[in-house]
Amino acid sequence: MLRSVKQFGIVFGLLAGFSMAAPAWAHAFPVKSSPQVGATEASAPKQVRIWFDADLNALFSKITVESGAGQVVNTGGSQVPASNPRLLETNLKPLAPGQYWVQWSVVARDGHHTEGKFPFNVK
Amino acid sequence: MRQNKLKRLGVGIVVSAALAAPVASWAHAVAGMRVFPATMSFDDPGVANEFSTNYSQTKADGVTTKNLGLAYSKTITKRFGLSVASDYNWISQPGTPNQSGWDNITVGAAYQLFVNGPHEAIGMLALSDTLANSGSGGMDSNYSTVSPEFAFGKGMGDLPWSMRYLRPLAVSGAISMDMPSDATQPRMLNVGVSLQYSIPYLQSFVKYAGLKAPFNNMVPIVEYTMSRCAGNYSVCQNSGNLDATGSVNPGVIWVGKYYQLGIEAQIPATRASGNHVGILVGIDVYLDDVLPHSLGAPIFG
Repeated sequence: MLRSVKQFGIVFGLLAGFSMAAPAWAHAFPVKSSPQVGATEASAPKQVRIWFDADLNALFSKITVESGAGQVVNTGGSQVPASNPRLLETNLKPLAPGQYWVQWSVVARDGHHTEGKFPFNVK
Repeated sequence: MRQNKLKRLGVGIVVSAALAAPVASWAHAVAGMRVFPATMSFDDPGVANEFSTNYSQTKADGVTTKNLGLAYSKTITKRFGLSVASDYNWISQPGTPNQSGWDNITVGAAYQLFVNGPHEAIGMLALSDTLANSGSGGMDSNYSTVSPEFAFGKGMGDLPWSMRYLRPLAVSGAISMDMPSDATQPRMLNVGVSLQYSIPYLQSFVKYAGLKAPFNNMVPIVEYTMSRCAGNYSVCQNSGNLDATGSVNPGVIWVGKYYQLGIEAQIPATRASGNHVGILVGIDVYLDDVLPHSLGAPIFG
């Protein structure tokens, strides 16, 4: 009996060790954003920036910002700066007061896709 | 004499139910913006690559059961996966020698039936077989048990914005039937349901509340499990109300990038389920994320 426990322990240990040792990228989830999720901004932001917890594949990662009426208000597409592969940003047109929705869709370096949508308000 | 026999049968059912509960679980499931953490007392609805271990301790009618469950699941294609699981048990009851050993080995196959991102809905069909005589002598059973299962998850992210603070809520569940190859053994119907509130979802998609680590990764959860005889088996009839066992498990799951940690209390849901609050703790390693290019990737596709 002790022998089986020992064997299972060794297999468990090896698997756990193997699991922890290797490099990884994994699913990318947001860590923070500017504007913050659900925030009300006193002045119109010029950019939307989202920081993720994994490196992004720039080619397949994008942000779209829409007004409450469904008009796209970001300009020039989305960029992942070379200096920070975990940041995705887009520039905005001058925004009128109202509610805006940020829709993001990213692919991490390993090919895992994640997506999300959040609002912010301009006073 | 007869009373003793009935009691033993009842205890047998309770212990079997306790042993059957915390086995394989299927990694974190993603549907649109929703991540369903691996529930701790029943399968979650995602087919993925995962290694999980749970420890539970319960007490019913003087019988203390400690259980260490180990499970490994592996995707063959993106939607189809296989798994293997077993449990090591320690059982002690007054007046009898303590028992310990491996429960039968369970092998399973699962198919991701649907994933609907916009509605945060996900469903899985699974079939497992608990192999006869595959555990420790005296602790395992000499018959196999085939268990078909349906598991689902549904997030509330499609609620109107006016109810935005309910959007982080999600329900998940699993229903399965244990069908033993030994006709004298009862078929058991198992139901598990969870209600969960995701802090990561709240802060990423509804309103940043300023919660920092470790609270920003927490999912408060209540799990409910129930297992009861499905049919008029003499073993069930003779055991009175001992054929229905289950628990209400309030707790919290911390969802990390590569693994999750969980802790839940196990509050007996029926008299037969025990008279003490038990504990359930678990670690799930997301092999999809830890080793995305090797062990964590599907073999085909």
